[in-house]
Parts: sequence; C-alpha cells; structure tokens
Amino acid sequence: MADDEQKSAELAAWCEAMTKLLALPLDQADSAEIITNLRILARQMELVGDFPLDDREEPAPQFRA
Amino acid sequence: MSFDPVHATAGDIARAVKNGEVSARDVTMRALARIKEQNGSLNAFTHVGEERALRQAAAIDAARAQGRSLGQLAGVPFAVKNLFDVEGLVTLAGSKINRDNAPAFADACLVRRLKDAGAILLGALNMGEYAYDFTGENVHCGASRNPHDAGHMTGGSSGGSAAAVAAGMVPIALGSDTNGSIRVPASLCGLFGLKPTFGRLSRQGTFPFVASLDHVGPLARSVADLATSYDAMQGPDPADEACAQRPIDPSLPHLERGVQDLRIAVAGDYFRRGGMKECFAAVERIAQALDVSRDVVLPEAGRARAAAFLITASEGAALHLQRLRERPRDFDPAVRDRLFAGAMIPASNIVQAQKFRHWFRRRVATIFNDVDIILAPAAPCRAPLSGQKTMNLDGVEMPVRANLGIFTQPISFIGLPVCTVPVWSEGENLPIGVQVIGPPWREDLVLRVARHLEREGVVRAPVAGG
Repeated sequence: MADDEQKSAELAAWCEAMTKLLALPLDQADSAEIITNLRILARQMELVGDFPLDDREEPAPQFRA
Repeated sequence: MSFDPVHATAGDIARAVKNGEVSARDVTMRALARIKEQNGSLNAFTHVGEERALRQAAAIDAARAQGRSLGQLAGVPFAVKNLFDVEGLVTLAGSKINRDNAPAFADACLVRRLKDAGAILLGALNMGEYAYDFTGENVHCGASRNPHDAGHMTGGSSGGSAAAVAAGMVPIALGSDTNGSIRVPASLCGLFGLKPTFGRLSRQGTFPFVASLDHVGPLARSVADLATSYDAMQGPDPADEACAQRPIDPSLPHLERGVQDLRIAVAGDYFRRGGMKECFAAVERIAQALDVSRDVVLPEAGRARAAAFLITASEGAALHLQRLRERPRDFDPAVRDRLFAGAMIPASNIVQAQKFRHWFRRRVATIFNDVDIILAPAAPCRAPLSGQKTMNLDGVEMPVRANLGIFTQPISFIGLPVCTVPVWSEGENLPIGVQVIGPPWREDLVLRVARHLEREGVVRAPVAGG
C-alpha cells in the first residue's frame, strides 16, 4: 500500500473509532470532509508533538500573558 | 444638520454633542438612517435596536440640558458582534442553534462600560458561526460584505463589526479575537483594530469559543477612537476569571508621544513567507515610514500557529460536543466538520500544545528585552472574493477559512497586544493590514505607533465610498 493510501486508511480508521467512542452522529456523506480536517490536524499534531519540551514545562491551560 | 456623523470620528461626535452643535438624538437618527441605506447590501447588522438607542439618546440630551457632565463617548453610536449579551436579545454567536436560547437578562460588561461612557448601542452584528471563521461568511444569516468592494469578503469572524465601521454606520464596533478575528477583518476592511493583551478586557457576558485564547476589543476608523473606547472598557472584573486584576492604565494621554524613543523591528523568518507579495510590501512600507531596518525572529512561530490551531479545534469541540451530538444538522457544515475533527484530538497533543505555549511565551519575552514593537503582516492577502474557498499562498493551494489567520495566530497564542493598521496602495480599492505588536500590557505603545503612522498619513481608515 502506498504511503498516501496508508495514511488515508489510518485517518479513516481514526475517524470511525472516535465517532463511536464519542457517540457522534456522523453522516457518512460528511466523513470525507472530516477526514480532510483530520489530515490537517495530524500535520499540526506532528509539528507540535515533535518539539522537545522539559518535563517540568507548565501545562496549565489558564494563561497569563 | 451641518454636522456629518457618518464621516465623523467618535471623538468629533462626542465633542459636538457636548458643546451642543448636534443632539445625541440627531446623531442616532442619522446613524439609523445610514444602517437602513447600507445594511441591505452589506449585511452587517443582524439586529437594529432603534427604540433602545433613541431612549438612551434622549437621556443624554436631557442630561446635557440639565447641565450634567457627559461621558467621553457621549452620543457616540456603537454596535457589537452578536456574541455579546445585549439585554432582551438572544445572543446568537452567529448560530442557528442559539436562536432557541432565552434572551440575555443583562448587557455584557463591555457594553455596560461603553454605555456608562455615554456611547449609544445601535444593535448586534453579523459574525462567523460560533467565531470559528476567518471569512465573515455565515450560512444562517448570509455573508457580511466588504464595504470597499461588496464582491469581496469582510474577513472574520468579526465580519459584521468591520463592515459596520468601514461603511460609516457606526464609528466604533466591538469584536472578539481568538486567533485573529478582530485583526483579519480590520485588515480586509481597512480599519484600525485593537486586540488587547489576553486578560486585559473582561469577556463577561460574551459567548465563548476557546476560553484560553478568547480576547475582545474594538475596531474603529481612528486611533484616538480605539484608545478612547479601550480606556473606557478597561478595569478588572471578577465575573471573568481570566480578566487580570490590574488597575486602569489609560492609553489616551500617551497617544501623541511619537515613536522616537521606541525600538522597532520587523518579524522575520515565518512572517516573511507564506503570503502574497502585497502583505510583505505593506510591512515594508510601514517599516520605511518608521525608519526600521532590523529583523527579529520569533522562534518556532510555525509551531506556535500549529499549537494554537490544535487548542482551538479541541477546546472549541469540547464546548460544542453536546450540540454536535444533538443537532449536527443545525451547524454550518464547514464549522461542524472542523469541530467533529477537533473532538478527536488526543489529550496528550493538547497538553503538549499548552506546554509549548509557555515555552514560546518565555522565548518571545526575551525578544522584548531588546525591542519595544514588532511589525508583521495581519493577513496573507487582500480580501478574497466572497465565497472563495481556496487560495494559493507560496505555490500551495489552501483553504481560505482556516488560513487567513496564519500571521495572527502565533501572536494571540501568547496574548500579546496588537493594533492592526490599514495600508492602501495606489490603484487598489482594497486595503491590507499590518500588525503593530507590543509586549504584554503595553497597549499604549502599539496605539502610539498606530497614531504616529496615522498622523503621518501612512495609514488611514476612510469610510467606504468617500
């Protein structure tokens, strides 16, 4: 399976699994658009996830400028 | 009436009302007439509150007749993005679903504060659904249209706010900015827009989108109007947990101090690629006017944008999860599908994004040891065509809706104050904005730079159509 096909299959599996787990009433007609969005998110996740951060870096979402 | 409130600044209106040159009622009537003339084609207002506005105008005229002192914004018309609570109105937040909610029982904090300064609320403004938008388009209410060319987008999500100010319906409007929703429409509609420091202005009484990133602020056609309205809205508010316990720090007294003592640099690297040439030319023009030749690099700005993107998708989805389950067909499909995907992001990625946010904030803070102001594009292009779905940036075709904020997202991610200034090029009927970015809590500096550029004629925000 080519890399791109494999990625598409993984994204489709991710979408299907999470749809069930979250009890989202997903219309199959919308899944292609959701998978497109997941592809974009996956790129951002890779960018952020790759960055080395100290274990003690503050994770609190409450933010002070 | 010789006084022309449509083209006047808020400052001019307040002065004219105070000295009796015009009544608050006449100003309000003229603004209401302007809305009637323009709103059919521009779709900026989703509600016009004529009765309330005239009642308040009468109260201001009566106060003047009795010799009582009037506020800084006496008789100045304003309007708010329809995610602000307005007493007696349902807070739509651009959605169909919220139409089923009860009307707000009180005004939002900032609406109250502007009213206390004498400003007169004319109504509520169109916006992208639940603020998850950079286009100003809305499937339920229709798109807001760019007053400088109605065939083009206003930008979003505060699209109605920008359209109302650019069309001369009101001199001041309030918007919200999670990732660029004040700065992008200010850029596309040729306005000054202030996104204050995160936590500076109270969000009490506004419908949320991403609590850890949401800001609120004004759009206007003059820098003094931005400063006056911003000053009137400052102050701690225990009803908003994120609102800082800081005293009011007036910006207006500093506005004319010029830029001689300021160290200014252009944001390099990430902020010099990924846009059309006009956005970089606009930054260059501002840099030349300020005699700036220095670049600074905000490290890992691309990752900062990615982290803001993830937090937005995830927090936004968490906010709307129950509505997504119960009423998926009542969302704008473009918003719903992004929220569906956002709900599926693993928690570990969000924790990493929040940790990265603190890392990025510290790194950028060190840059502000050496500079006072950073310049960057506000949008990657002039206003796209209304309905346009994709655009080509640096040879890559990408969705308009998600990418008009590529230069604003890394900045709001760490809550820095920004004033967007509008740049016009000869032969072009559409403007483009530049972000004037300051260190935390230094709105006074970004407004000073904007005012200097305005005074020198480098930037301007005319009423559309002259």
